[in-house]
Amino acid sequence: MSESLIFVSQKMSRVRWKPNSTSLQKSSVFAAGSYEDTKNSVSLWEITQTNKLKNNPEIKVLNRYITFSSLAGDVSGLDYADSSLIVAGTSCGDILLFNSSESLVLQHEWNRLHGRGGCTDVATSLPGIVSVGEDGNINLMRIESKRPLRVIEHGDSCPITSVRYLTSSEIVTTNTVGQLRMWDTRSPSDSPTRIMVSSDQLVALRSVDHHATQSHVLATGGADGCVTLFDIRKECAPVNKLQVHDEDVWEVRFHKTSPSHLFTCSQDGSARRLDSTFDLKVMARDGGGSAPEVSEVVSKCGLSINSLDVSGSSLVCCNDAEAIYVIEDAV
Amino acid sequence: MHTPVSRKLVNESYLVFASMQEQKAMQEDKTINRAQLLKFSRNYRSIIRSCLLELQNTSEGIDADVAIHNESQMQLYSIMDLVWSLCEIIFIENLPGGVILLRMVEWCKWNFPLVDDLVRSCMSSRDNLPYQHPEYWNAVTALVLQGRLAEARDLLKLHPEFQVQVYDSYSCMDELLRKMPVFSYHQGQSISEFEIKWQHWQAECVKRLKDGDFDTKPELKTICRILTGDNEVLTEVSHLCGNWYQMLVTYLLYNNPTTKVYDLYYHSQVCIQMCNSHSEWGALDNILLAVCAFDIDRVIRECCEHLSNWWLPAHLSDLLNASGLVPADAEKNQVEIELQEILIVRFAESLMSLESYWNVVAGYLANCGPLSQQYLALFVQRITLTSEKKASKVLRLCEKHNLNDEAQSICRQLCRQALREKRHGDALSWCIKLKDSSLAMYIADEMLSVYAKTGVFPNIDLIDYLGSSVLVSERLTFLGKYRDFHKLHANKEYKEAGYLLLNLLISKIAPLEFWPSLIMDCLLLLSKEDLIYGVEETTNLLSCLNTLDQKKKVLEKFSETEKNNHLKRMQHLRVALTNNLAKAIVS
Repeated sequence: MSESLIFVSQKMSRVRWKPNSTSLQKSSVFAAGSYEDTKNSVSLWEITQTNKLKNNPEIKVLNRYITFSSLAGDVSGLDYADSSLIVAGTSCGDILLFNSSESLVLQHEWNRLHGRGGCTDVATSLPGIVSVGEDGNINLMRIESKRPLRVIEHGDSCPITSVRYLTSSEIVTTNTVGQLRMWDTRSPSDSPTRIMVSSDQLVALRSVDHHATQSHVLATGGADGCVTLFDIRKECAPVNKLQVHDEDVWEVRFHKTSPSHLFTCSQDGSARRLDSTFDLKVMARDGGGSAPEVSEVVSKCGLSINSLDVSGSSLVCCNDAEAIYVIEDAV
Repeated sequence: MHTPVSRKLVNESYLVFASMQEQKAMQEDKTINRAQLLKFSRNYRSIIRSCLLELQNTSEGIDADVAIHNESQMQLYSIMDLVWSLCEIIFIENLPGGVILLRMVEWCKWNFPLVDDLVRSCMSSRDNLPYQHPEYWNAVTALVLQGRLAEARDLLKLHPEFQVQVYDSYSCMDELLRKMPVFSYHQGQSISEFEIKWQHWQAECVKRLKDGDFDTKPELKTICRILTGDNEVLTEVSHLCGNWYQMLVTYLLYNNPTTKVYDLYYHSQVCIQMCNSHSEWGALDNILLAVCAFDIDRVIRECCEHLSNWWLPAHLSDLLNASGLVPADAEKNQVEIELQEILIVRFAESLMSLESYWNVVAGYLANCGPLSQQYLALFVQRITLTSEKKASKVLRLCEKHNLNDEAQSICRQLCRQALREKRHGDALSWCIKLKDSSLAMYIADEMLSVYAKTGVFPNIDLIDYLGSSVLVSERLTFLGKYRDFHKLHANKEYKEAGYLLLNLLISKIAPLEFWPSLIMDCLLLLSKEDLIYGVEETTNLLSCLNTLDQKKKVLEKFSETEKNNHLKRMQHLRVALTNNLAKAIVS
């Protein structure tokens, strides 16, 4: 594992790798959104290798090559819809659609979709975009639509913390009282199809992700440092709860092409990797026996790591000390 | 402190500071060993250097104001670098006598590139004849002044009058330069051995000068006079000598190479005398003199007075205090600790104007000194909570440092804000965290009144999943159970519903205002076909009914029609209950 660290003079709240057209290509471009700065921005970064120095075989240089800074509020959600479209959600409640094929051009803006506290996360599954916010609203949009197609107002009594698409018509959200909810976007009702709870205590869930191949397996990161695995086919959905970190797990990401790896990052300043087959039948039966192996990818770096993303064998994460880490051979 | 480059300085140095505190915490006496301390010091220096380099690289393509600001920042950073590197040599490396000079020669070489510029300009002359360059002799002399004799010899060899075979003034000089002894501490040479060798060598230089070996070439004569430690010659070549601290190195090289750290002050006074004519005395000179005087207090004080930000004094004093150089005398120690606390707090204050720095400020305040908890508590109250995520981070910070009161007040503030905006679900989740039963009661009451008005429960998605948190407040428990009752009723589980209702009435957790509604629900159940309530239950219900009759307060809020309705319902219920009792006794 080789680690490159660069201080970027802005606290980043989200980083996302640009999706590659083929899985063999090495990721070298990522997008990052900043927060709590006087002027926040969405920027694109490129990693270039220089072989100039004799002793160090490869020096990685992180180069910020495009920035879009006419944003109001903090960037709180960021996602690549495809390799040239980026969706960003801000704390003022705006959802922005960028075209990043040549430079970052604002293609469309949905304003004030969320009230107080703004948007907390966005997810995309072309052509759909979903955004969730602290007001408990869920907004469903399409890339080409000028207005949101559907607004589920007060879908949740508590702030929603994250959202993911399970299939093109099903989404899953987490909130601050520990509920994992599934929604069917085609159903006319404004209630979730299912509500699952990770524990009896009202511990906030901060993030959710679904397994790349086994779509019934979901992992959530909680405010108590636990990663909970859910099997949505079961009546009693939470299957396994693992204490991976000491403090809030801000993001969980399953690896898209090697699904036996789950990456987590936390307020305690570390990023870890869980290796397991995630075969929930086995896990539920054995209990402790087939516990995933936990290895440390970034050790406690002093301040919270807010977000991470993994693509191929590269991992990128950002922390509250205004630094971005890029780790090669993280898998 | 808010420009992109200074943000890098602040953040990177915070991480070094934090890991230093961790190291200190592991030791009992709060000191760190030399090797580690040197590592941290080098870390800090490399951060300053990289910021300086970055500023130098971004000097094109910016407008005038930014350029001026950059200029002053670069100046500040180079002063910081200079001061820190000298402090590292003198205070932290703890070198024995003799080795100090070697390090100082290196320090001079790295920080004062005038000589390198001269050499470069000589070598780059177009005709490829360096010796004809006007600066040639200046370059050679300056190299000798800085003690870089090998380079001086190389440059000298380029002169055409230098012929190896012929023994003349050039080869004589070359020999002298070659033979100058250098203290090889690591090969185990002892100080006295070195001193003898050096004195021999200098005597040789004096002899050759007296013999007139260099009379033909005045430039070589000047150089030889420097080698003999002749101080008057330094005034002749003062334009090459630089400041008094550069001259200090020259002076020590050719007068007292085995100097110890403690003698530096005396020697620097001599150099200052010699240098008095040209440059003005500035802030940097004050600070460097204090370093040579081995007076840590004075160094820190001078830095505070003359530098425009608190970064250097705060971090330098933290590093030096951790080295154990501060005397163990209890009273003085107390003063040192307080001073350091104040420095860190002042530094943290200077960062507070940029909201983005709040994590870093909190980190500094948490480690400033004996009053860190109080400072941190005051700061936490000032952090603006713009989102739920930030609030959670602040609460996590409070938890880590046992600031329970602040955490409670933050939760209360957020709960009240949610209530003002009528977001009952959010408010409830905050007040459960707070474990505040009176707020929970208030919220539960609000929800119940919504139900009473509309017949629909608000925030079902929250109430149904409260789990054990309902126990925070009695009213909340009632709300939860009442909702359960409705669920059971909807599922046609009338018997369970009936028992639940009875329990609600008997256990008296239901508020009096709600009893009429509960009574109505009872009526519904009693009209079902099957017998739900047995003898005992019916008697209990009857006694509840009697209690309700006696409580006239309930009727006060009702209007005339409502009162009449209520009395009629009570009447019906009494009849229904009596019938039920009869049925129950019979079956």
